[in-house]
Amino acid sequence: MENFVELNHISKNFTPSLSFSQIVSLKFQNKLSTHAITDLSFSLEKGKILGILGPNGAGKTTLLKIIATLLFPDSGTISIAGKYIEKDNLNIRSLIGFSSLQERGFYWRLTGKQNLEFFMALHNIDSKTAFKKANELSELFRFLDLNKRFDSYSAGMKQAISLIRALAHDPELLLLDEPTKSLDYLSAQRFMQFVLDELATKRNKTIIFTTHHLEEISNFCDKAIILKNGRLRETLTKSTLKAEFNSLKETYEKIALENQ
Amino acid sequence: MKKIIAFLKKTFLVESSYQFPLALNIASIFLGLLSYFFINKLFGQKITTHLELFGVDYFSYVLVSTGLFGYISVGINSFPQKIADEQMEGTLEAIILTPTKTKIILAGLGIWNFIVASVDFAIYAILGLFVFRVNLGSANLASVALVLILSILSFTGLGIISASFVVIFKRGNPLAWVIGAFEGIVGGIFFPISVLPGWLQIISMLFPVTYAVKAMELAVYRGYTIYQLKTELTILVIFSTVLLPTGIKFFGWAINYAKKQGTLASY
Repeated sequence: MENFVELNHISKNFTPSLSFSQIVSLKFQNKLSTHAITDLSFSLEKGKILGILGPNGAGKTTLLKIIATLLFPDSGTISIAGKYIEKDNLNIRSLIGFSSLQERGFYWRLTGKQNLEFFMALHNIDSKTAFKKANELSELFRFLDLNKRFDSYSAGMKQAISLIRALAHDPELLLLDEPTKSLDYLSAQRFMQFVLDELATKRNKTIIFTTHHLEEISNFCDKAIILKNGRLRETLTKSTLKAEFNSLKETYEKIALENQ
Repeated sequence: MKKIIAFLKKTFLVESSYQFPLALNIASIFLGLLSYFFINKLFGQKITTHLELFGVDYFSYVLVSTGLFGYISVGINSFPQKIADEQMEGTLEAIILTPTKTKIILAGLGIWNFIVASVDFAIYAILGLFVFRVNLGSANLASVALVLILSILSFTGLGIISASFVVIFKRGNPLAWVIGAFEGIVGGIFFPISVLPGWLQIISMLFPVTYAVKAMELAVYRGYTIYQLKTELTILVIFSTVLLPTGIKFFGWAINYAKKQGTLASY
């Protein structure tokens, strides 16, 4: 099967901006760069689910943002559906649904529905279809009223709205940053099951998500990678994930605790 | 067009969730004009030699110039302000994630403020006509409309360049500072540029506002036709054709720079 997402030798360093005192004292040598991602390569077939594991600061969110075209890598290439992100940025964005971990990213004085209507319009989806989609998807999350103002939602409800926004334009590739972090247990289970059964299996969507929950990796993923300090430390296949949960736990703990 | 309407609707919903800005805006315009009205009274409501070209007293002059400046300031200030707002809310990243061209994003972010500025401009005209009894009967409306359009295009270009600085530096916008600091003095907004010394008059020629104010005063009070304003209008066309594409290009570059630096969502 052909790869839907392909990353080749991706590296990303963050260099801090010059401070005011550095400019005034004419000391232009910068502090050391942070190596967020180093020489990372992997691929994923269409309709598959990839889980990304790693301790805090491993580079998981940076990696998702790079695939989402929100960050440009310093080196390496990324292709999605055969299109390279540096050449086909605009078209690739219509293929992607991204849900960020941050609560920012919405208009807090508008309702959930008004927010979704706006962002769907930017995906060329009319308001009638947007409402229909939003209502369908909101059923995944109990007690979610889309007519309330965004600033009145709990953290879990904000995350639910973020997930609905990522899904509502029916993207081919879903990038989800810790999608169940703020959700209650039942909503989290229902959402992940929906991702597996409906999106990946029935509709052949490709999903990449980050998590700290090994059970989610074990239960829902076709493939998993473990990152540490921006480097790929382990690639796990479906057979390993399903059969040997304890082995996954041991591997993860070993990598996470190294050098600490 | 649908995307621009979506931006407009979104901004309307956000702005209308606040209660006082519109009423305060009208009050500010009225109080500002009232100050000029009394300054004019102090100097005897005369047409000074510097105002002979336009054939009006100081209050009439400043009514049009401040009204126009309020309008074109939107071009300079609305883009950096909107970009800063979207960065603060984290929505800039969410907007850029959608398959929307940079030009559409800029138009969408700016359009609400242009509508508000048009309403403000109309308020200046209504207050001038009905409260302060200024004679606007000689205005050549075709010339007024063309001056407005060309002015706004020139200043939009400057505003987009200014917004690019916000994307890169977040705070501390050198272009906005230069424009804000110099245009009030050399642009002919609070007094005709003929009162300035020669060297400042030369500097004033570098700013599009100088030509916009002069053309607008002549179109409103002398009824100048488009042909009679050809020099000022040609210069405004040159400013527009240079500044607008430069601004859009620069903004695209600033977004790419922020994507490289990883600072798109920071503020």
